[in-house]
Order: sequence, then C-alpha cells, then structure tokens
Amino acid sequence: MQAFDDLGEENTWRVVSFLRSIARHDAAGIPGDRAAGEKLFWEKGGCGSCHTVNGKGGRFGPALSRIGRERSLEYLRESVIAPNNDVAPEYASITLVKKDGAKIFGMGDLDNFTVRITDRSGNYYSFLRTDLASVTRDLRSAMPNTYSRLFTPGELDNLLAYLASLRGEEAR
Amino acid sequence: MRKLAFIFAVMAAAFAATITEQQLRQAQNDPATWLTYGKNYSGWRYSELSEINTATVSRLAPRWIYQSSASGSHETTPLVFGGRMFITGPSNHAAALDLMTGKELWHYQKTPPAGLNLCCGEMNRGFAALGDKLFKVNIEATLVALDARSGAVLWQRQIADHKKGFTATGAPLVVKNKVLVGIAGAEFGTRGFVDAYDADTGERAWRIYTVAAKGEPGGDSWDADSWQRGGGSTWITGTYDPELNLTYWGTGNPGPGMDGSVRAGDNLYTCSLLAIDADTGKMKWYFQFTPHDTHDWDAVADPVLIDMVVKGRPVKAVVQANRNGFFYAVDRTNGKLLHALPYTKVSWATGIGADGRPIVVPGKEPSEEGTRVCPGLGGGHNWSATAYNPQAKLFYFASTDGCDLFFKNKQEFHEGQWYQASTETTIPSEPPTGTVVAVDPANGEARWRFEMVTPTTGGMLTTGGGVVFTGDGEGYLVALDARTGKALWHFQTGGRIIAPPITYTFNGKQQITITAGSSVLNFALVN
Repeated sequence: MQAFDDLGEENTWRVVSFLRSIARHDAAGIPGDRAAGEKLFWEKGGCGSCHTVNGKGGRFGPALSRIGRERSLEYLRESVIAPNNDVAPEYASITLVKKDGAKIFGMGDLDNFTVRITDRSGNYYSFLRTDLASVTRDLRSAMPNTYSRLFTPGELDNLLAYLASLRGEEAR
Repeated sequence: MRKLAFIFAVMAAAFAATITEQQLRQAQNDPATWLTYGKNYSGWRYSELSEINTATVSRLAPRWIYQSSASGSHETTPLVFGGRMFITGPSNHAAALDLMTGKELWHYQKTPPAGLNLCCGEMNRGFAALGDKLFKVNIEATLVALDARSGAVLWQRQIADHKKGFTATGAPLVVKNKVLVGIAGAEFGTRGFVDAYDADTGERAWRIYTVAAKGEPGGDSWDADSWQRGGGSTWITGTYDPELNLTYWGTGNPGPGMDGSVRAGDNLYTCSLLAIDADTGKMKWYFQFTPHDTHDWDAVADPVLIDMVVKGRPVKAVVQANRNGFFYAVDRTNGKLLHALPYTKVSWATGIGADGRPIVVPGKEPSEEGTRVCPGLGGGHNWSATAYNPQAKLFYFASTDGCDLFFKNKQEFHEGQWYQASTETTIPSEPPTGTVVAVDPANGEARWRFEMVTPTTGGMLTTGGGVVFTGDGEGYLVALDARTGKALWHFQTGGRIIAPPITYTFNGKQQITITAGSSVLNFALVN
C-alpha cells in the first residue's frame, strides 16, 4: 500500500479537523459561566491580544469565532493548559535573522526555499531563505503554557464555557 | 482537394514514427524521445543531454503549460515521440499534446465504475508504447491499447475483478511483443501478480503470482490459507535486462498489513524483488527485503539495473531504495545480496545480514497501544521515481525521514473490503522531514544529501549536464548539482509535484517537462 502522502498537508489537516468536529460536544451542559469566561478571555487571560473573536482582538494566533463548533471540549481544555500538545504547522514559531542582523519573531510557515511570517504587530513578511542569515522554526506554540497556573479550576471551566459557546452565529 | 490530400500526406509523414522493439532496447541512445517509463529498460531516468547544465540551468523558463481537466493526483511519466507528448491522468484520463505549444491533440477518458474500493486514489503513472499503439491501465483493473494517432481504443482486456479489490495504476512495460502490467489492491485481501499480454491481440501470455500458494515453493511461508489474501501488489513498473531476458518487479506488503498474527511465516513473495523470465513468466530468483512485514513497507520502488564494480569485481547489479529504510544492491544474475546500508533513521533493524535477512530489533511490531518505529509507514523512500547518473556514478532518490506510531487491530476478511487490520499516526512533535539522497551504488554509502523541510514527493531525473531535477510537495521544481547536491535553481509551479520530470529535445533544444498539480509544464533555456 502506498502512503496517503498525496493527500497533502492542508487536506490532511482538514481531515483531522473533520474528525475532531465529529467528536465535539454541544455547548449545552458544559459546566462554567459563559459570561464570566468571556470576561476572563478579554481581561485576566489576555487571550484577545492574540486571538480574534467576531472581528475583535489580535490576529497573531488562530481566530476563535467558530472554535466551539470546530473543536471538542476536551481538545479546547488541552489547548489552553498544554498548548504544545498539538500545534498546526502554520502556527509554528519562526525566528529569522536577516543578513544585516535584524531579527524577526512571529508565526508562519516555511518551505524548502522561502519563509512567510507574521509578527506580533500583524506585519507580514515573505523572504527567500537564501536572502537570510538564518531561519529557525520551533514547533512549540507561541502561546504561554502558564494558564493552568493562572486560572483556578473554576475559572478554567468558565473560560471553556465561553470558548465552547463560540459557534460563529454573530458572523452570520 | 489535391491540396487537402497533400496536407494529409504531410501529416502522416510527420507522424510516421512508430516504436520498434529495437528502439526500446536502444532508448538511451535517442535524446529526442522518452519512450518508456524509466527512459531506458534499466530504469535510469538519465539523459545525455547537456544543453541545460550546472552553468545554464538558471536560465530555465516555462515555454507552455497544459491545464488538465482531470482532478486528482497526477503522477504520469510522459512519453515523447513522433512530435507528440503522451500523458495519462487520474480517473482514466489521457491525452496527446503538441510539443510546440502543449495544445491537446486528442483526449481519452473512460468513467471509472461507481463504488470502486481504492486505497489511494484514481491515479495513473503513464503509457507504454509499441508500434503505433499506446498501452495504459485503467483504475478498474483493465488494460487498454490506444491508437497513438487518434486516441481511439484498439482493444481492451480485463486484468482482474475490481469488485474483489483489484485496481491498476502503474505504467505498463513493453518487452518484445508483450505488454507487462502489475496490479494493486493488497489492502483488500487480494493476491498480487504480474501479467503479460500480447501487444497485437491483448490475449494474456502469462501470469506470475507474487504470493506462493499452498504446495508451491514458498507456500509454507504462509499460515494455513492466509496466502489467499496475501497481498503482494505490483503497482510500480518493473525493469528489463535484454541480455539476461529477465524482468525485475518489486512486490508490496502482505495482507493484512499490520496484523501479522494471522499470517505467520515469511509470507513469500511479498516485500520482495522478483526476477522473471520475460518469455515464460517463470521466476528465476527472488530476494525478500522484509520477511513477514508488518509496517506496510512495500518493495515496489524502481529496481534499477547498474553494471558496476563492487570490491574490485564487475557485477551486474539491481539496486533499490527500499521503503524499510535500507538501500540494497543485489546481483541481478542470481539474487544474492551485494550490500545493504540504511539511508535514513532506522529503528526496527540493526542491519542486514550477509544472507539478506534483516537483523530485527525486538518489540517493533504494531501494537494496540501503538509502537514507535522508524521509518514511518510511507518509508523511507516510497514509490517516487529514482535515477542513476553513469557519469557521476550516483543513484538519486527521495527519502522521508521520520517515525510513526503503528497500531494493529483485529479485522475479519470480507471479499472486496478494506483489510489492513491496522492504522498508524505521525507523532505531532516529530514531523517528518525530507531528503534527496545521492548514494554510491557500488558501496551503498550516501555521497550527499539535500535536506528539505517537508518530504519530497516528486521523482528524479538526471542528465549529462550534471543536474538532478526533482519536485517537492510545496510545488517547487528543483535543480541540484548531480555531484554535490548544491541547489542550482528552483521554480514555483503552483501545484504539488508527485510526478517525475523528463527531458528530450524539440527543434534541437533541450526541454524539461514536469506535471504539477493538474498541469503539465514545459521548460527550456531562455537567453
């Protein structure tokens, strides 16, 4: 049997997303206070500095407006407390050094000859790798892995209730 | 009317080229054409052409692009002769193209039957040619002969029953007046084979099964009646040595793929190389790379024929970059191992013994909880075309460097249904990378490696200009220095490259052609 490598990375992730979507939980019945979770998201957690919800927030990380529809509650919990467990390739951290010594950190992807990166300010860059002094990709997430300490168990439930409620309705 | 008759006469003369057996034997000597899957019978994918070389390749630019109407995985090796290019595509598409413009001259398509059980898609890897006929397999396990001038169907034969899980994807190989074809379907509990058909009539001349039946030599390598579902597909084109009159075909994984408990034994002749008499279909010898495979490591990669000196002794060798992570050189006259060395990370064996059997590391079998094994399910080197450059004396192939978690489960056999009893996953924290590897076939040692972020998926082409061409999954057509591996040039085609490049001349100028995404792109030097 030949491998399914002809599916392509993008389609492979689509299949993964679909399988995860099958396993998603309905928002109803999730413990936690959705409104309190929304407040945690924008204030104590600072999540909105990197994530967009319904047009508001930063664009450094994945948009979350439909995340409750796309991911199971367990997956969301794991993503908050252990963000390195599953990092999509396009959200790898990349540090590049230009030949003049200037350093750029951000998220993006690279191939055999080029690199594309968006920094924390939302600036987008595209380079030939031969024009750079170095490119380093870190498959760990740029998201802090401190939320299990930052939030109490109750606060975590509130945050998850909020995330699970994000189903894209406002965007319709 | 007279003028019209004259035009037809000119057209007929321009396409007078028909392919003879002699031309196929001497395909290496005609740089203007590409007549068979591997360029020559030895499977070198090497052309002496040198107009495009290490100094000029930076001036390579596209001349035309043909947009196919077929969607799916395009894996064709085009044939070029008689002023035309002949390509196959997924879902039983095929076409003839004008070499000047890429304009489609004729199109063949046969809608695949509904409800096909496929492991991997409706791809096809190319034509074979003899006389004025083109030969291709269709996905539903049929072999068709087309008129090269018009694309009209001349004859069609059923190779096997697709309802039982058989499918066909590989380019046929013409030997003398026979059309040799392999088969796919090991994931459905089929029993693999290689067939030969008369090129004129389509009548089957011989069949050799790749799984030994009870009572046959090798039949005791299968537990009970497990041979009946033994797999051993032959989905990549073999090679041929006219002097020995032997054709060499690699065989795929046993079935079910990862639950070896239901098929105790070596499971001959799966994951093997077979030397077959081209006239009779009788096996001369076999060499099994992975006895009792449980990791889906088909041995179908190109068996490339190289005459070389090994430890001071001239040897007629056949070499293969095997999916199990080892590069092998075998004496092609008798099937004896010459040498085998790992070309990527290998965790399942510490080496290959002098008898050719792997020295297996215990505890690497698939398990219910998952077993980490390197290389992963796809290999190592999978099926993509390999190349040999007789000037550089190097053999080139793509490698995926990584590991997988292998799982097994129990599964009952039902005819025509998926029968792998297994699954595998990549390890999220260990994404595989890719390498183009150049190996000295005379000793098996890697001479250079070109590291890639993602596994390379295209096949190889090498030339007298000292260049290796290949394509990657990101869509880059890449030119490397054949002696050093240095990147010389790249071009973003906009589509994933799975097919191998070819080269030929048109109007005296060297051309490079590659299929990327659903398009065929043609390149030549610009001033």
